[in-house]
Amino acid sequence: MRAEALKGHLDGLLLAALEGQPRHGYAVIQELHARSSGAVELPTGTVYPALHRLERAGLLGSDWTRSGGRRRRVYFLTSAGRRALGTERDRWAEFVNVLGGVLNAPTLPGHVGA
Amino acid sequence: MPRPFPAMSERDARDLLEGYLGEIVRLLAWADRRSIADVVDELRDGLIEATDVETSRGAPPDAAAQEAIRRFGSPQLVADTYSSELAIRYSRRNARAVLGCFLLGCLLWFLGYELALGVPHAAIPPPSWTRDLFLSATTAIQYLPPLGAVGAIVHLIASKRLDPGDRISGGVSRAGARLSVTALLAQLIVMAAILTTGGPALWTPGRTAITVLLVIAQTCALAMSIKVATHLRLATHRISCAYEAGSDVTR
Repeated sequence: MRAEALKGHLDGLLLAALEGQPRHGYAVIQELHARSSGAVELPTGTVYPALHRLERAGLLGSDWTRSGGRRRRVYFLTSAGRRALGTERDRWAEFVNVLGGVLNAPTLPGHVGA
Repeated sequence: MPRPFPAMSERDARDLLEGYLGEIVRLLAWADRRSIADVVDELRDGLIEATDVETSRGAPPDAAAQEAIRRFGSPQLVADTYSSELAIRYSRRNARAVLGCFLLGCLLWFLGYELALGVPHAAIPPPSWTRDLFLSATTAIQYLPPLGAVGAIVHLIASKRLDPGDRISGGVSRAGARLSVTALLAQLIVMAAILTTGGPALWTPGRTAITVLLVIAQTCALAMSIKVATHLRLATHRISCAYEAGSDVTR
């Protein structure tokens, strides 16, 4: 799945990837990759600024730790982030319901070409 | 057939990663050192992780490093998206400082100048245009700091969840920053009017000290307000570059 198809949904995806446990940036990307069975493919370097943006908005927090002698920034969901994730899920369910109702409805005889 | 040169070592792969990071650092040269260090440390950690993943799949170190770099995106794209975020952060930091300067200015004027020392209206010889200007300026200076502070607060609120691609919040944010700049410019002009029309009556040691502090605080606030507006413009410009690259995935 190309990055363009994910526009408008990236925030929800990133929040969902952090729901279970705090993760560093690359682990977030790996989590997205694993959950989508490899379908979600993003230019990795642009995901970090998106995480920073969510942190600025108060939806994520971050801590610097050390791993293998390197500095590592680990992100976690804040309570505001959990609420935002719930909202994103509600919106997505509504979106799927509405579009599913239209796209999956069988074409009734007599309506074709009417 | 034997290879004419030895395969790239892990050290060479590391040099590839450092070269990539160095290019990003070059493109982020406008940012402060601490921010750049954080960006580089975070990216380096991710690149090494990505390289390790590729190596564990059997890729040689050089191919693993090249694949990690490919997945991260071009240095220009990464630097543009980081620049946008850094610029918004700087604008918010400066807006908070502007707000602090406004509060300091208010305290200096109202508590120091007006309450403690008193404005020497009576000392200005009536009737004259200088007295009228002096009185108008002392009235105006009471309203300009709150106006500028409102601009800074509007910017801080609008930019909390600002996405540089969002025209509404971006417009509100820029309007707040411009209001601050305008109010500060007006305040400095008004202060100059007060000082020139007030005459010798104003130049007591206490008033001089407060005036100097006021001018310093407001000049600092003006400089920071201009930075706020500049950073907001930079944030919008950088995200436009990312759009042009066709890879804006920051939202």
